[in-house]
Amino acid sequence: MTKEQKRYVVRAPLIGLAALIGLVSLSAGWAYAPFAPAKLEVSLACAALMLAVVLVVFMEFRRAGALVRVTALAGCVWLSFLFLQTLGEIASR
Amino acid sequence: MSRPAAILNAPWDDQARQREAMRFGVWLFLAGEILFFGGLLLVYAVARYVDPEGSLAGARETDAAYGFANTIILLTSSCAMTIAERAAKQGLERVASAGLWIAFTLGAAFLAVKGFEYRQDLQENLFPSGRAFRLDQAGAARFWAFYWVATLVHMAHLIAGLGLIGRLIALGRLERGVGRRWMAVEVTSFYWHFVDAIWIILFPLLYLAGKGG
Repeated sequence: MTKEQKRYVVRAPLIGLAALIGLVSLSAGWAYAPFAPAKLEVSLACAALMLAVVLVVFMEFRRAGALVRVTALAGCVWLSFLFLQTLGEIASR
Repeated sequence: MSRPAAILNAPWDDQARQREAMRFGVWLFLAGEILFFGGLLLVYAVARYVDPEGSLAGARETDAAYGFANTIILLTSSCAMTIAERAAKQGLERVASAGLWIAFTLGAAFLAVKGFEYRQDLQENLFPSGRAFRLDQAGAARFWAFYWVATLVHMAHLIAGLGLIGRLIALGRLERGVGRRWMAVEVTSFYWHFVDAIWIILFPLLYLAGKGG
């Protein structure tokens, strides 16, 4: 295994894993800290950052072609319609 | 860094087109799955909006130690799968095989931990059906209904993922390596990361809500 291969195959995923474990530990630690503010917001922010790490480091989404990007975006757009319409209807009752 | 020649399946006659089709196919599937799990998460959001106290009372009863352990297990499994995928693309057969085995074993370990957790939940009467359910708030029952549905559906996806990884391990043994199957390793890896991503969202909602006073 060359130095370049070692960095791409082993080191980059391990750095991603370290970041993920750090974020989930922060999320859990914050949730259990007595009187810590904005617990739901912090845990969801940590989850969003973790998803970004999985997408960028593990799935290499930056290298994805236009077709894949449009497909993933379409899923997220339809999901946003689902949430906005349902929560909007409930909030306006 | 050059990639090994991949096995071509009908109707593709070149690697680039086959890869584009495989990536598009798996992302199309994942986009559908995003909507499926999105619907489930919407149920959680509405339940919490309608009865926040009851929902948090239910969430306080989950055992975060199991949830945290399983999160670490699944994240490590995803990392091993990434290593397997990248090694397969580089023709590093032994590393790819080791990565697949580690990902598979950790996936199985997740199921074992979940089994212990389910046993504890049932012993503590946390299945929201009949009089045995020990929490009296309606919101708590809704939370636990969500807990069982979401974790069981996630587990079904994880078992399917284990089947896909097991298939790659078997092919690797038959064909002396998965290097020529690197595209299959790549799309299996995408699916496995998706299973991981769903758990990343479920963990704070199920195990951290309502904790710590």
